[in-house]
Amino acid sequence: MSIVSLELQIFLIICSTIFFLIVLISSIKRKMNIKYFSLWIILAIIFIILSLFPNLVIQMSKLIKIQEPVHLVFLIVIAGVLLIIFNYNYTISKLLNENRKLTQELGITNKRVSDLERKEGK
Amino acid sequence: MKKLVIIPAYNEEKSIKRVVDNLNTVAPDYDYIVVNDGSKDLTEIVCTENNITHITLPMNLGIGGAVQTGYIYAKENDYDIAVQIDGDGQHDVKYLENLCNELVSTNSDICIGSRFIDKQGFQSTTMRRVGKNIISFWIKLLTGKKVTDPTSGFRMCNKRVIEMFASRYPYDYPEPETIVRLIKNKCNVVEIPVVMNERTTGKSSITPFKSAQYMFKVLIAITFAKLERRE
Repeated sequence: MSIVSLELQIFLIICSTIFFLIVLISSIKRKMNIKYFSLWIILAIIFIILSLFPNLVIQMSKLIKIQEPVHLVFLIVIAGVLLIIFNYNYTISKLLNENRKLTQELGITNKRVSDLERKEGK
Repeated sequence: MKKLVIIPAYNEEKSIKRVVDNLNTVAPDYDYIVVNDGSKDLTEIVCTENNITHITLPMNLGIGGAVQTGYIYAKENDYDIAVQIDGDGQHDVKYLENLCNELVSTNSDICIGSRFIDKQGFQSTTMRRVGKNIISFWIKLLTGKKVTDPTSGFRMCNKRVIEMFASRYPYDYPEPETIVRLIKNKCNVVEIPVVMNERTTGKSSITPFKSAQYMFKVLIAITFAKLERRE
């Protein structure tokens, strides 16, 4: 016995497949850095598996004693999203540091160039 | 001995020339570098027109990033001593000599100009002094060292510390955090009394609104500085 109607299941399968394709295409086209590809593609594959076999959710929620199977779905999605946000924050901090270094070097190099230009009387 | 004064300036078009002129008169044996931290006003033009030695950062990095630029410059140009002063005239350059003497005679790594040893001059607001005491207490607890003015930006340091600062310097409110990191790395920290002026133009980078956030961040930062590995 399935917990979702056939119509809903088809809808979910289409949605998760589209999501999968978007992730795949944007990575192939190099619009997205390959570093983040694995994170999203894993999420997309999980969505596809769950939409193909919704009973998995029931079995898993029984296994870890969650009353409502839908709560397990929320749990998985929220955990995934949190993970991705954390990853973003980590990346942003790294970018900030690199950005700062570049800005400082650029400022110092600019000074050097203008000092040299003045020396040569330009 | 090559000595450098680092002057971070953000929107200081009105005061920067006065600060530099004053420095040149009172302490002519010091080189200086103004770090124009992506100012939105005419600081850049004032500097160029008056032939003020300056580095202009293409964007605003905040006080930590600006000051660090000065330390990188000091390292690249092989300065023996670097001191930072504010671009708004809060720090009186007549104390440079005292700072330098203390630094050299005690063979210390960093010498801090403290408002709270003699308790003279501009003493800041009550709230800020309470905050300062909490930070002092926390530093004492973590490192066992008494620092009377941990938030003072009026600090002179030697070559070793210049190199440490050039490779690593915090973004915001860097003073207390760097003190803890220096003590942890077995640097000698000393303080001498100075009198600070109330700022004449411009705004303090720390508004009362941000005070609580400031305290929280600083206490966390100095705790982490204590917990991390030695450099």
